[in-house]
Amino acid sequence: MKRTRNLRGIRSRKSQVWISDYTLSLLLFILAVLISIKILINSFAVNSDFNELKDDAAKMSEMLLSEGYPVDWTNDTVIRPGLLTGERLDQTKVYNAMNMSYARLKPKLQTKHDFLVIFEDPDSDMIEFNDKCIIGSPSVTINSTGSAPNIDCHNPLFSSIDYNNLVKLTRLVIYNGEIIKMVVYAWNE
Amino acid sequence: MNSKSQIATEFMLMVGLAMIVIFAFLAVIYVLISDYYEEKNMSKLEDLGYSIQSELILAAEVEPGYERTIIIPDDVGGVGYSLSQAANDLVITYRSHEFLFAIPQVSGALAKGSNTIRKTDAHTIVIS
Repeated sequence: MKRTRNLRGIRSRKSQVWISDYTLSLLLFILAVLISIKILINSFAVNSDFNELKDDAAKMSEMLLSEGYPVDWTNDTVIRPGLLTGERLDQTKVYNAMNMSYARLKPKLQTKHDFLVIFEDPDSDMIEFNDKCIIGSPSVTINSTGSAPNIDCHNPLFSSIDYNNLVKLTRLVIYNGEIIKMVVYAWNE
Repeated sequence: MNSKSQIATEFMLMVGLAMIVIFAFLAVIYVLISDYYEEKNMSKLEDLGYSIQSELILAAEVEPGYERTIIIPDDVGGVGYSLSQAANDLVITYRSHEFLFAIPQVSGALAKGSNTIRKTDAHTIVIS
């Protein structure tokens, strides 16, 4: 009689061990499936995201290096914000674009990504337009000295934002009789 | 007999547990996938809006005499939408979302199917 009770006890303990093993293995299996799905999705997504970002930056720079529409656009009438007039950088258009809110500017440039546009002289020093020096995202900190209207911008600090991919595209443009750089940064989170 | 019924109960318990976990797992996957596809659908419609906007801006920028026929699809990759114009905006409506795209002043309305864009003089774009 005593022996039978012992056997039952052993069988019960065995079954409990088996259930916990089973539950643990099920959870581990689901975890493994989740991780594999995430790895698979990431390996496809990263490449296409980066290409899309690159194309977007190129498209934005193309739009900015046009006259825009209407040709004499202001912040009230703008449909497409180009920065040139007669193949040269137009200071008024640049200043208008710098004054436009980021939320309004983003769809005008037909982009879904965040972006920042700066202008650099041949010595790679940022060019200021009155009291401003960037077009685009206000989230990026600009390393600068002085304050408006005598601000001196040096370079953007991308450590202030989180991003997965960052694209930098440099285009040349004529401004005040010299060739300067228009640098377009685009990134995704 | 007692041992057999215990095994059966344990089996049912484990199958039940597995079913609960799998259903929860599937529900989470379903929510994630439907969100992903909703975003994709909206992105497709935004791209369509930008394409039409670019066509009209191009027509506004070129010389009179320009003519081009574009086909606006009934759906984009199986995603239904409606198209309308309000003042100088092209409006694409998808479920409760409205996408607005600023366009130059045009006479005539864009519709799904074939649309011919003509620039008759310096300030007139006609859609037929």
